Amino acid sequence: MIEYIIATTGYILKGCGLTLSLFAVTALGSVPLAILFALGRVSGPKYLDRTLGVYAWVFRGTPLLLQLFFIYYGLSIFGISLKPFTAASLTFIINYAAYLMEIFRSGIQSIDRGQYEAAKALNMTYTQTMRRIILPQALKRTIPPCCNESITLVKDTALVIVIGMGDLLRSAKEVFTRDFRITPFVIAAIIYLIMTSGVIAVFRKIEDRLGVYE
Amino acid sequence: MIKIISMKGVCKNFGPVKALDNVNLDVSEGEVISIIGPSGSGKSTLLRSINQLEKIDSGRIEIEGEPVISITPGGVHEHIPRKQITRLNKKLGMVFQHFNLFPHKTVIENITEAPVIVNKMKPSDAEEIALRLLETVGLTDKKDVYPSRISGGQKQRVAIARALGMQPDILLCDEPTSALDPELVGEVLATLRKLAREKMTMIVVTHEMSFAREISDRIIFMDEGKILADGLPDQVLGTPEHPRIREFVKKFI
Repeated sequence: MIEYIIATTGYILKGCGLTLSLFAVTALGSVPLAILFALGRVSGPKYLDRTLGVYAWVFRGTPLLLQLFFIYYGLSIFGISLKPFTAASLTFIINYAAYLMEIFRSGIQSIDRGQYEAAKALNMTYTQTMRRIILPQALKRTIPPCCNESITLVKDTALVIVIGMGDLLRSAKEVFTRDFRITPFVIAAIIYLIMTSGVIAVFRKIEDRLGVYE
Repeated sequence: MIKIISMKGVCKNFGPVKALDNVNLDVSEGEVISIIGPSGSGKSTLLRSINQLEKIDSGRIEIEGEPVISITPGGVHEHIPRKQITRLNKKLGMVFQHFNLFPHKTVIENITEAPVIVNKMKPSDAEEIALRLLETVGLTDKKDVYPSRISGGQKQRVAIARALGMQPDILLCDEPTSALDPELVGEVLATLRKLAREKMTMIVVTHEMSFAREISDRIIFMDEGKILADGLPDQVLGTPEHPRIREFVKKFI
């Protein structure tokens, strides 16, 4: 039995690589994009704010799965065929940037007007004010919702199965189909729990480090 | 003699409310001026228009003889180069009612931040200046704590040090003690008194009548966006001519 569990775990873990790399690419791609978009909404011209509003409306208002279909299958109709991982990364980055943009925007808007005034009275430029004064405080406040998003992202990566990619859940499903035993699902669940626990631990660390001033 | 600040025909409306109604004001170097008056009279707006936290609708404001903003009553802006505005604004320091310290920076970082980032001062030099300022305001022992760990009076003293860190020629104080518990007012006033003695040019919006009387070279009384009186403390507060001022002063005695 133990041997079976070890062998199955090993097999499922191979699919884990895809899950982790998609997670990393999405996080690295969407966070900077979302910060930029949030700044655009807060201090850009009206049309930019409106355009980004529509973007958030579309990408938060339709299923991620559908978006994945659009970018992987849909674009191929127009002669743009992306590799599965590229399509998945692109979809996830655009989708998560929409959520994170709104989170960061609310964080930025929650900062007291007095902070801007103090920065202006000290003759800081817009960029200096944002970089040194507003964003550090705003991002700190958005850590709890960002932690939520990251947990969701770990689990959302499983959607790539539908465009034929092999992640850890798919591996588990394969073992299940072969052996007709529930063990692979239990193992998959445990691996997900370990990953999300890791995410939570990392965010707790960040929160502690950024929160020393409170 | 060049006026360090000069305001001519300054108007500012908030909707139908005239916050500043044709205000004229000259400030000489080393002068300490208190602005008093009922709330909503335009005192803070006057102060905030000097460093352009409030954008005026019309009028002209000069700092050390050069304009920072100039708008005709018809709304035509005189073009003033950005660089000039920044250069002149750097002569102004500001202290806020609610301190507005940067909560994510320590006391000393609050003071060194702008000199290093804005004026590109060497961090070690900025720190030296900051330490000297902290000594002036009596908070050397708090240099490495965050603002959340100190009292309101201490926060305001740090805020004063932060404003002075940019080595301004003029200090604007917007109700510096209004948000403080009564027992903490004294320490902030003592700090401002010290600066007044050192001949710092200061404009202070305040409700502390006895303090205003004691430290000011001039007192300005505002009501409904207008300057009703501008003169020596004893003139304005001692024998007020205007009935509105008499009424106001009576409440404070």
